[in-house]
Amino acid sequence: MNKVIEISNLNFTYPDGTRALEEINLDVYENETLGIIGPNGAGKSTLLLHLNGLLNGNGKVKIFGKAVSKENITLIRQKVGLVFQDPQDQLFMPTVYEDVAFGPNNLGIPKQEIDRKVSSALEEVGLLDKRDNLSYHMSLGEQKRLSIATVLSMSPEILVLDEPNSNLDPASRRHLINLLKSLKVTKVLATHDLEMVLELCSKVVLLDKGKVIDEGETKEILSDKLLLEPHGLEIPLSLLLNR
Amino acid sequence: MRHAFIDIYADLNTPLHKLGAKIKIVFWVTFLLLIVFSPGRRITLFYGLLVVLLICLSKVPVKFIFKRLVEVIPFIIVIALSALFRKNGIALSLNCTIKATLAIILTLVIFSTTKFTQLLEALRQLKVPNLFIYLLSFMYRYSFLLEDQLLRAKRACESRSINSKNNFRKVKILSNILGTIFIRTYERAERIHLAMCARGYTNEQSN
Repeated sequence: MNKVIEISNLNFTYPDGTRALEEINLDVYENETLGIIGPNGAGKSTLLLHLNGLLNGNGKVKIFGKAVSKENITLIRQKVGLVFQDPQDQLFMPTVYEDVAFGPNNLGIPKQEIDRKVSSALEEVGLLDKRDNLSYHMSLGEQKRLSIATVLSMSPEILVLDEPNSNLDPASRRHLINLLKSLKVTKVLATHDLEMVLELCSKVVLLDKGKVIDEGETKEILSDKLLLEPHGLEIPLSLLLNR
Repeated sequence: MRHAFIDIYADLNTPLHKLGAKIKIVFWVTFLLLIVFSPGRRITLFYGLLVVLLICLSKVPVKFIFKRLVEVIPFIIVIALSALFRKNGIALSLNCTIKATLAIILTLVIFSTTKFTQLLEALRQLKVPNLFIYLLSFMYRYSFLLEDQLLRAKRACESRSINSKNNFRKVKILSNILGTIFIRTYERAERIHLAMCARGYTNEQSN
């Protein structure tokens, strides 16, 4: 399988001196779904911001074999679709259509093509009928799905999601998980929802205090009580019950 | 929480609402200039009647327009007062007040009968610079959020302050709320900028 993301010796310190990432080494392969788990403040979001060059730490980040740099930043941002945790940050345009068209517009795609891309992205997340709505007036579940549509319209090959289902009610959460299952691209999810990780991810990376604590096959990591508990996590209930 | 305080009367069904946003903008600018440059009182009176006619046509409640007008009146008063110290002060001041009031009422009528999103689209078609349109659209988009945040902060504060009649303390709390909201807004702006960049936005874009 092809490596699509290669991170080696990545360090990042915020301007105020907080060390957010320390010596991160991580590979993600084509079409796999990787879960990044860890407590609050572990550095999950900081790591995700490196994947399309929004932050540049010390070390190497390669996407499809290309180092993230100024010259190929547009290409990398098209290939890596990053979805922020808070829809209020992700959805900054007034209407649904404008928000989904924002990315393609920046890529300089002709107008008819943009229309087509917007429609197919909205269709994929099941919001085609909300095209002219104001995103602020939608439910949180719809906003989360719309957030995903805003990057799908750029035809990304890697989908990077920060806490995709935080604060969702069970039905919306289920809808979102099914949606993520249906998207056939490489996915990287940062979350505390270990049940979702169990369902979606083939591989898991445990991150705490900016360091990779462990990585491996999902079930193996998630059923290791001694590994999880010191890092603010616990074994998902479904694994406990199936023992 | 759902508020649409900007577009409350934008969904009515009148000839004025059906008119295209582009035409309305052009009409608004022209009429505004006509009012400002009107040479005599009679013509100003005629324009005033036209504005009243527009209000009737638009079916926007007079009360709503009046409320909004009151918010702007202090600015007019300042200008009218400073005009008093010039030659022909009283006439000039009166002239200023009437024209400014008419201009504001006209603006209110035109823009409360147009949906904000349609307005933005019309401005885009009229080749207004993109940066300016982004600013307006962000202002519109985040005004809802800001209102919600204020409301929530106010509720959280009220639920914990029992029988507080100390006005000085109330002002102090309000200023704390405003400070917190300012910082949150600032941080949000940073995150939104990142979210824009993540979707390929570069600062040079102007088309």
